[in-house]
Amino acid sequence: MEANLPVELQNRRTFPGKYVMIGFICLLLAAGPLFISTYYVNLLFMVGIYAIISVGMNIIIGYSGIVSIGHAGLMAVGAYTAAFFNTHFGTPFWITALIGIAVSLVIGSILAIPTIRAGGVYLSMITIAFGVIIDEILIRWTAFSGGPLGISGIEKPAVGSYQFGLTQVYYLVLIVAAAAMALVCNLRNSVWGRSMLAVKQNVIAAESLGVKPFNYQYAGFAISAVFAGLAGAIYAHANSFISPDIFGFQTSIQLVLIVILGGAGTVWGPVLGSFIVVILPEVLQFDHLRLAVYGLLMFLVLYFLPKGIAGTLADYMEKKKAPAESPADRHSIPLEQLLRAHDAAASSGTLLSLRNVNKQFGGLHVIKDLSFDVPASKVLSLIGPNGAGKSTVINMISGFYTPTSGEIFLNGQKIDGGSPQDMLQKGIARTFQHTRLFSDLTVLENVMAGMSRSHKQNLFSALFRTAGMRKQEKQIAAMAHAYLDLVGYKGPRHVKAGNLPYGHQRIVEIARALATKPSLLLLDEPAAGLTAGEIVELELVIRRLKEAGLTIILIEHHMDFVSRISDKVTVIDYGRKIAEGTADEVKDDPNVIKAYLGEEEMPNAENF
Amino acid sequence: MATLLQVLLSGLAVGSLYALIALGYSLTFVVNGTVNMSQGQLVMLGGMITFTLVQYVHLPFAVSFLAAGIAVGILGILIEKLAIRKFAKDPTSVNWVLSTLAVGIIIQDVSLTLWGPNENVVASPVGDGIVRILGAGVYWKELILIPVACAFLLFLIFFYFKSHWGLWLRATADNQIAINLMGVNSNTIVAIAYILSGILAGIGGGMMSTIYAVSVAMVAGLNSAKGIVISGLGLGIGELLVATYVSPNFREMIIYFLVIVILFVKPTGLFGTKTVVKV
Repeated sequence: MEANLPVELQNRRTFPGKYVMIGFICLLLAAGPLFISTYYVNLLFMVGIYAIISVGMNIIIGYSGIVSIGHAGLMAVGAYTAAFFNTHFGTPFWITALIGIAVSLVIGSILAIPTIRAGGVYLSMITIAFGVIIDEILIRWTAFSGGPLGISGIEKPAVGSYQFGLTQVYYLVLIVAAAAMALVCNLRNSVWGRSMLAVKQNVIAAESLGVKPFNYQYAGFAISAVFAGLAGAIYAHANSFISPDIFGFQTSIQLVLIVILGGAGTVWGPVLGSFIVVILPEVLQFDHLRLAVYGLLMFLVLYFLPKGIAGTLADYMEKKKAPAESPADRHSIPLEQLLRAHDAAASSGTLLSLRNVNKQFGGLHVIKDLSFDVPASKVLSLIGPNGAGKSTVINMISGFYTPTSGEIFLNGQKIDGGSPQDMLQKGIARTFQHTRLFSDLTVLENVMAGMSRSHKQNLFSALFRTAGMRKQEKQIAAMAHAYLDLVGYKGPRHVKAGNLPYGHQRIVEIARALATKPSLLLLDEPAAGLTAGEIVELELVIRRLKEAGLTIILIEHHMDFVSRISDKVTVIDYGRKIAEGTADEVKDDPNVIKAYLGEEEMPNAENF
Repeated sequence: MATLLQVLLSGLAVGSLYALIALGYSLTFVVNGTVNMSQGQLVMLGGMITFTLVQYVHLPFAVSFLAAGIAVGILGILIEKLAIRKFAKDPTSVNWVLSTLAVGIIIQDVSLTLWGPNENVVASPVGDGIVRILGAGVYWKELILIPVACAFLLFLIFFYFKSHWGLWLRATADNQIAINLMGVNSNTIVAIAYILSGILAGIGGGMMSTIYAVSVAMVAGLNSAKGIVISGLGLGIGELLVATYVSPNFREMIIYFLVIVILFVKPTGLFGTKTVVKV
């Protein structure tokens, strides 16, 4: 549940009661073998095995939105590799587990490429196909897998000459599962976790912040492959026997069910799900229709608990108790550190120029020979009637569209045709006409996500939460607070951004764009839907940014607002520039009046 | 040479059936972007219903197999209403994949309980005779599939392009909001797509291994009906070529591997086109 809270907030809320509870659960689980029969210890062991894999799958399903229905295949890879080395070469568990992880990681990484590239429907189908292929290979490649009969006589894990019994194996699984949970929890509260969720919730906005979706999804898939391989290896050694039917399609479905039933994207969800899915059929003593029950359960979860058990509970808790907002961790950070150091020499000239830019969508010629210059450290407003092509211009400058012909220069450097990530790297940030916040990240995390590109963390330090990483996280959070202060945001900062009122969302989106430290900020209708009071505040913010040296292109329909704030106004209609100048000059331009109001000398005007 | 011709003819026959079933996938995908992941089980169900009607109720084959089509078509309505309608609203969610998979699991398990694990063969109305074409021997019961499948395909094409239902289907595919504004309930139209897809699964049933047709739809690019027909035929022939010249054990593995390779090289499928995302 805590996964939904940002780092520094969690630290503040670690009242001892929570630790006592977690410690109590651990103690209870650890003491289990003393009180219950081996039958139940064995069940708990299975819960642990499933928990290890599903905690890994939670990264891809919950954080990246990739529903893999073939992870039993990866588990099989780990299990069979370990079993093969143990039975053929007598390699001890501790080594075979590492080999199993390595092989599973390699195969998982290869599988991840087509899976992520395909996306959507194809994605699930590739993973299903993968599971089927692994199953087929296990049945046919007898020399390696022992065919349908599987491999038996795998040695139990041992330390020196001491062989592990069920209880020791159970403890091993318990420790590994707890470690896996801790690692994934760390990952969630890092640049990696935020970027993964950002990609899942709004891939376009994530790209506008320079996040490369593939990298994060790929990393998530690789980690889940490691966990699956490890769980497979432990299972093989603990059970002494494996066969292909243990790792079939049914198991893959069970794993998905575990994650979504428990609650995808929550810390405790996979564990909870494992408990229910493993224990339930044993309690009900089902012989027939066990699969049908799983199917029905899946259906019920999708219908009535789309966020799973833990996710629903977390939502309920958030509603009941809004997290405390404390200004303690807000330090004032000087403006120079927040915004890109602004080059005095460049600020006199032109920052951005478009030269004869054209954009065609099929036969539709949207932008025609458009050229204009944006003076540095000034506000340029791009206005025009609906459908004039304003947003298309912004999309080309920010790299979402490639111009059909023509050139775009930033500081004299040709930049057209770059990806959104390239444009961000060069210092161009944007907001969207319809706000695109990451609705399940908190307000603060949204702004923190804007720093994913500038404050990189390596995967290792994120997983293990190294001292350097913790320091960096603190710094990112402090900066994020400062950006929110900079744009004059007064609302709550630890609530999910999706719950914010519209005006707040717009302001937060500007803060998020600023967090990328741009030299050019593109604002697509920032005042749309704001109240008169909010527009006045927005105006102050824009002035403040301009004075700090930022160049701003504004698309806006509120003409008062545009006239007050713009240094230069460019008017386009049907993709062509029809006027340019100061707001007053443009206002009286006959072409502009014609574009907005139609021909003045229309013969039947009075009939309208 | 005779062997090759025989393989090609048999492959063409089986492939045309695949094409028919895979068209069921394509139909719903085109209309609202969802695919019924339990289509394989519906095919199986069609087969089992046909078998039951022929074997125990002693109905003629033609009647049984049409009845199976209608029965599975009705099931299609239920699937649309329960497993699709709620989940298809959010285009980024793949919950409908899971919900239809769940439907498939339920159908599979219940069918197993009802009919048991035995393999059942329905005697073909054209018998077990072999026809000799240029030295190649092909079963009549395989060969007959080609004209039957073609007849259904033609009917479908006629329905899709000439009837007003077909027009609504195509309009819903294009713009669901617009069709609602025109006073046509797009939910009903999606349901019709699911009925048709169920009927196709039902009549194509029994002869297919279940999950196989899924890969046909994947390879072909789900938004291109032409591609599905071509790859359906291609996979049918390919499967038999692998089985004849390599080993029958490897045919599934190789086909699935091909599917992954093709999606690796061309993520939108062989014939699909990429839609431009509007920012």
